Amino acid sequence: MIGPELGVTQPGMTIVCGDSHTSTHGAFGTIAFGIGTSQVEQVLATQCLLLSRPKKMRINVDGELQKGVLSKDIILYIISQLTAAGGTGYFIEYAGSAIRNLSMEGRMTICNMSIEMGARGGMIAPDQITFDYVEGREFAPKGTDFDQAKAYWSTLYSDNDAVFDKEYHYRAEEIEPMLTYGTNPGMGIRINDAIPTVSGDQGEASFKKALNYMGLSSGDKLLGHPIDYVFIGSCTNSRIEDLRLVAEFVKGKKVAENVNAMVVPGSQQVRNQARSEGLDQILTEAGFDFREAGCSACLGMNEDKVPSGQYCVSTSNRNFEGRQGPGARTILASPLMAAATAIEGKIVDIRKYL
Amino acid sequence: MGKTLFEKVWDAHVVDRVDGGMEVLYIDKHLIHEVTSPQAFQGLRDRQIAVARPQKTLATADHNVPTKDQHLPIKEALSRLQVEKLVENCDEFGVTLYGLGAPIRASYT
Amino acid sequence: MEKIELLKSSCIPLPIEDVDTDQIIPARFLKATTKEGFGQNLFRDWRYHSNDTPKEDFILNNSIYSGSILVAGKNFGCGSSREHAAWSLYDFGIRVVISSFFADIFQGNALNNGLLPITVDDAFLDHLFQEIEKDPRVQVEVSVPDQTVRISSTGQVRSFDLDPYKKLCLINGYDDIDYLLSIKEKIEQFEFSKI
Repeated sequence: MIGPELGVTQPGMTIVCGDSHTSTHGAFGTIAFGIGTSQVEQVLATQCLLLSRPKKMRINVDGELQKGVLSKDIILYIISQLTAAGGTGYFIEYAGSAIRNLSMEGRMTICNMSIEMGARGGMIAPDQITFDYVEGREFAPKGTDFDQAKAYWSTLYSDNDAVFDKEYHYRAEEIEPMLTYGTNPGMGIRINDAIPTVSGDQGEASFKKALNYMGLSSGDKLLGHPIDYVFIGSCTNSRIEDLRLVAEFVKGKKVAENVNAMVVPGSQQVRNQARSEGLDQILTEAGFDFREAGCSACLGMNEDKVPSGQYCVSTSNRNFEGRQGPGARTILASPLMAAATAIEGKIVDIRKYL
Repeated sequence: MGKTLFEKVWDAHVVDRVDGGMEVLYIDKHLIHEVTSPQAFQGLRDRQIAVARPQKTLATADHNVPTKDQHLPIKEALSRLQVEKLVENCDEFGVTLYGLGAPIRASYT
Repeated sequence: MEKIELLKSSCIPLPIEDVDTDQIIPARFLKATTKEGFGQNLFRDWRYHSNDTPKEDFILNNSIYSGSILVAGKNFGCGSSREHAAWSLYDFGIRVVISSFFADIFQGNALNNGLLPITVDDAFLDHLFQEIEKDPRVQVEVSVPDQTVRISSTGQVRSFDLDPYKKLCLINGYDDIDYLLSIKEKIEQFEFSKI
């Protein structure tokens, strides 16, 4: 979260961290990925890593997004198509008009979840939107240095005759608000789809185990399903743009009585910005618990956990068994879908409000 | 043949190639946090070496921090220890630590 | 890093697919600041009830099975990049994991800790599971120099792939940091050329 805010993250860089969601920085046209602790030690000791080169994949999303469909829906849709192992061994480039039209915040959400397909990381070619975001930040180059840097950054795109090992094309119009129903991020459906059936092959046992854990069945729809918790936060969706969208939507509305709803900004800077815009007040009045910054309920490591058996619509990135606390049932969604769910106390289609 | 975005950035950072195909990649920025770094700092201590480029290293504590009452010490002992360890390591090795906003240093020193 | 060259041991069979690192070591046990001691929480939620009593039916609680080789179903080690997964296996006493497919980051983490992941074909894996079921004390011999794994009872042998550099590291107990420190000058030259 803080890398981009401080202007530390710049196009063309290599950035690593002992966290698999480091891929977020790929939104700036950087090679960014998560590493193990031995590799943390390698970089501390030598500023270098010994690696084998990953294969190259490009995912193109072209066209216009429907109203109420956010970048989170794009990436959940892509993962649902490619499965949680579909990117293993690859480094992904996201391209196409629907990606280019996204803000930096939206692009970060996309790149953040690259690892959920098994990919080493994901990146997006830098453009004017990127340059405008970086310019003026604390650690960004200044004056003529910036112009020089920008001239180099402008050369960072895939050449027309560049070759990818794998390439996919999707239409933005096909993407609807997305939800996950299982215990890995690849188990996702569009809001109006029913939970699929898997039978016959080897995956059947683990598919059944996942649905059993979630208390759901093949053929069910998630629309209308009652929810106990709503978590808006994590490195996937806790930037100021996410908080603005949520606040705008919930303004003057009330969180349903059966829902425990929490908003956790990704950094102190986001929190301060939200407060200066009065978003904290709107959220609190609507019945959200507006917390201080952190990873929070995304990984069941700190005090914020979801009780066993309860359903949580979450803007985070992993719906593994026990991820939000032992027995917790996580449904991944966009911040707008999470906000609408908090208000109604059950899963709704955000588009009915628009 | 043209290059992909990935290849342009990767190739600009290759320091060396090893027999068998692995490559040595130079890292511009290294972000560290409290959960996956303590054993790495201990490794440096065991080898008696310093952080090579502290100015390219940036630390923050995020995974363990509570989202309530951040001005108070973390209640859970192990979480608190891990965050304290990061503060100590950053001091010892000259790495800049960014709190998530809470005055982490003030709370523990 | 400890060397690993030749190993002969009985096996612990875990015929489950897609074992993720959250199951190998749950996030709540990642709070230690050393690499030791993770073995006691290896497969914690499969191994123990929530009141900390052992689950009798889990393989690690069955004294028939022992040894330093874990034999597991395909896609072992998927999920989070936590190296704690490799540490917990190593700390428990495991030195070799045999499966038909490994997740990429786990494989790298394992090799960096002297824990050898061996990828074999499905048929050999099935055969090995059967042999262990017949005789839990069946010995398996691993040779890193020859890149072979052999089941003593049937004499079946498979060779496995191993990056030549990584092979050297395992046999000599070198790790990547030793190598990277040895090319310090090259790294400095690279930095200089970038300015």
